Amino acid sequence: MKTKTAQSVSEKSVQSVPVNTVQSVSKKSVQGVPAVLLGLCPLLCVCANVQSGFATGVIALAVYAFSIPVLSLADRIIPGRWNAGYMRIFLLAAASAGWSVLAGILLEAFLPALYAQIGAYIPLNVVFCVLLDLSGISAAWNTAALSRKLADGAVFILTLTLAGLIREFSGAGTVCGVITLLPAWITPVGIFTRIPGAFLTAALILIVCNAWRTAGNVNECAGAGNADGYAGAENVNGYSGAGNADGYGGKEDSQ
Amino acid sequence: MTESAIVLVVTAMVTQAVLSKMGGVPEMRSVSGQMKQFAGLGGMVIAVTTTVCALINLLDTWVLTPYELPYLRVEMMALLTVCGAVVAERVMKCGCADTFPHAGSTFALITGNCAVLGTAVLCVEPGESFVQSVATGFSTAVAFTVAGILFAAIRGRISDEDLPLPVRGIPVLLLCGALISMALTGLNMLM
Repeated sequence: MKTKTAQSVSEKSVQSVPVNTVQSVSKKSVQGVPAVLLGLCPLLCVCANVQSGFATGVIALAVYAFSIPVLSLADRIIPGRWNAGYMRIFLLAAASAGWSVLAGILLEAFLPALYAQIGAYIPLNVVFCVLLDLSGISAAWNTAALSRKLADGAVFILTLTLAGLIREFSGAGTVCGVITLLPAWITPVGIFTRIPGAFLTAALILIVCNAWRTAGNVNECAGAGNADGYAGAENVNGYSGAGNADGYGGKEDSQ
Repeated sequence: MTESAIVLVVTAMVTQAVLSKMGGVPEMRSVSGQMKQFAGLGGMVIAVTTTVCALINLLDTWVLTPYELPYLRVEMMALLTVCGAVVAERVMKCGCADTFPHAGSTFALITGNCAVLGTAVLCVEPGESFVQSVATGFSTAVAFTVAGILFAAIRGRISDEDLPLPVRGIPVLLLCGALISMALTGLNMLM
């Protein structure tokens, strides 16, 4: 009985993921972190100021920009029957781990102050889910896929920088570490530069995004009772076809 | 042994991986208010994280440190995490598919989980004893599971509240997370 159920679940997930999920997730992922809520780890853990937010976004995208060609090359070299979802994730993890280590070495050599802030988190690039999602949509180099990745990447960097800006301004009263905007008699709320401030900032960004969306259409409020708006708030399959490893390496676009 | 026990308690209850170091927060948003479902994922995260920490300690002791290959550490951790996720998904699909309807998502939820790799990268250091590494991995994963169950319980309680539309769902969950995190920050400062 159990085996039958497992088989049916497996078959169902294999059938259900490819085209529709990839398309719907890619539509939502263009709206970036606030829309699909992927990539909260970097948003929350390292973006305590503008520089660290921007640098984290740029490094993460650079790592994946260099890793995707490896995946694309593997598509051509590895025989089809071996080139399943798991194999693609293994290759992606290996490639991105290598590039992450290199990025860490370069950052330590050329920007040691920045490395002191974000260096410990650079290896975690390997498991940033928003980037696994980005690279999983397609390893193809056609114009549509590339422009979609660029748009996603730009939104990812912007969101991290915005979070850094809010936290730095509220917590220290400065922007980019040098421009002091608050008058001396106003004391910044120091908690914003710490972890609870990260939660508050993320909540604030989401509330503004939700209010923006609900202003247009109440029914499309992301996560406000409608899980689909969050692409996975209630439905874990929102993890870009997470029901199946192929969801990360949908091959429809790469053909 | 006493040191490992202290590591176990402090890491699980005070130095919370999720609420103090932010690892695995995206997984928190996938909890649907059903604690049982998250407990299944939490169990798998505990198994995978503990195994990865144990194996990386052995690799450190026998291969990476003697042959001076520290740059391969992250590579090994990443591959071990993916391997662990594959095994966890197979186990969930075969053993618990009828109990946990989202068992098929286990692979993604573990591979894309910063708490798993983050524990290995940030908490397990070369030169630690095997028992200490295992204790660190286990307790951090327990911390993740505790936080997840906590979030699931909060979500279950607030889902019926009449909140303003933009605040409903994840934003209010994050606000609750901020409050809990403030409490844990206070505890950390006391230590």
